[in-house]
Amino acid sequence: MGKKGQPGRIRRFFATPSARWGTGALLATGVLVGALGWAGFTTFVDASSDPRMCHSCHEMREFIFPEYEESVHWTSRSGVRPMCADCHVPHGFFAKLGTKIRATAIEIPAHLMGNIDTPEKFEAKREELAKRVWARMEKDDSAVCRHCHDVSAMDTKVQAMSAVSEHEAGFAEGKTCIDCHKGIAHKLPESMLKQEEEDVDFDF
Amino acid sequence: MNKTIAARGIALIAVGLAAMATPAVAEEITLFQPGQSAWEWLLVPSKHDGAKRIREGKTCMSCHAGEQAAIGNSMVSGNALEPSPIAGMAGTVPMTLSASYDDTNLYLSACWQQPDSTTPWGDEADEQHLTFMLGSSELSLAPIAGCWASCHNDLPGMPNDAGQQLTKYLPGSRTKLTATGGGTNIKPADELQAQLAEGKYLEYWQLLLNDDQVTGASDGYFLDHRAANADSAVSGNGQAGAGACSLQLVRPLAATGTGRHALQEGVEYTLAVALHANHASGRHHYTSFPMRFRLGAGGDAELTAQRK
Repeated sequence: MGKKGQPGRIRRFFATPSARWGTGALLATGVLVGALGWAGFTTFVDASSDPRMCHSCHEMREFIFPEYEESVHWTSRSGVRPMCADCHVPHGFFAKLGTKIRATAIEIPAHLMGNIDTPEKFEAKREELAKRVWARMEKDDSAVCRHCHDVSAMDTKVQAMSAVSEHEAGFAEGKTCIDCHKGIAHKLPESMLKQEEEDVDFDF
Repeated sequence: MNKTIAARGIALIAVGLAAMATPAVAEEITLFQPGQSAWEWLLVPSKHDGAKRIREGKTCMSCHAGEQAAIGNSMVSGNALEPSPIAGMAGTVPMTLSASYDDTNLYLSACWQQPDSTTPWGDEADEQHLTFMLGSSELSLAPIAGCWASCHNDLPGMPNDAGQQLTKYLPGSRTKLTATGGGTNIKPADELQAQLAEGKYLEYWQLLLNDDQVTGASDGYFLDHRAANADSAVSGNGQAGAGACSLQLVRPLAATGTGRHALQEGVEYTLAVALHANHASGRHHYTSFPMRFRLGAGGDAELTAQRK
């Protein structure tokens, strides 16, 4: 009986007009709770995307971030400096939410287990981790790149000739940013470089 | 009436003489520091974005025209391709280049100002080396990569220098090349002789300069190594230096001996320039991208030798 009665109580709870609270008060309370929830969520997302959050892990601080500081994204003539989240957290709401859930479920436990807590362990997993990020970028047409870089806004008159011709050829071939721009924020995995050199035909 | 015809005739003759006396068209080129950008580096996509374009037969200039200064300046200020930049070295050297020929000789004129430096940039005995490299269409890599086809990772001062003291060589002279170069995997002598006979080599002409005066001249070719000819076919005269530049390299059109191309009117070659300045040696030279070079009008060569 109790089990049968529960759906009825829930239905009544949502369907029966309140005799005690005014409709406006209820609506205002709902909006307030929703706004607070939204603000709390975005604050959490922003805080968890802050570079200080990334830096709070020693592997990021000691041997991952320093190599980023050597990259063209850290110092460039335009002075634009994207930080971790700009490239590693999607900008759309649901994609961002998914990334946060994944980070909570996979990356925090990996950190707690010390999966990449030494440079050696990180190097051993660099290719696997890099490929995971590249795959995401290939899947969403390098959305995080395009959040800052707009092909239609590129002034080809001031671009290097090689950049202009490579962009033309690359887009004509259906490539996306990450297809050509791997290794411009973090070093390419040594294992991949070695394999690539073995695969290249130098006798052509 | 007769006076008018005579005046017109004189005017036409004057125009004709003026045309004959027209100096060769000078080209402004920019020589730049290339760092350790060897042939093997060019072909690895993660290192050189244009690796695929090289395989498609594109030339350096088809992607990098106008980028010489950016490349050279980058090399002297900490580019990964130059692990030991020389302090105070300029990244580029502007050069004015022109060419002419007559029935007997080719004349190459080059004007540049040696970059200032209070200390030598290397231990070469001669202050400057000006080197021209010439390739014919028989060597398919010549127009694509020019000098870079002879620059390898296992040469002295390059990333995989194993102390073998190799000199410049072409990929076709090796049985096998890897990312570290071709080493001593040299093809049999008869195969190399066949390549020489087919013109599949790069020829070089070099002037030695001290105090902007020509103090020596030599020539030779690159195939399995840098082979210097015992008797130089080239000579130099005049003076370098931007102020009173009259430097000229003279090379007979006819080919004698081994490793020399017969230069023919109307034929397109590949020409490139290298300059070792201020006693610099090895990779610390200024280089041009390979240029399409032609004797006589017609075509769209980047440097055209004018008939005298």
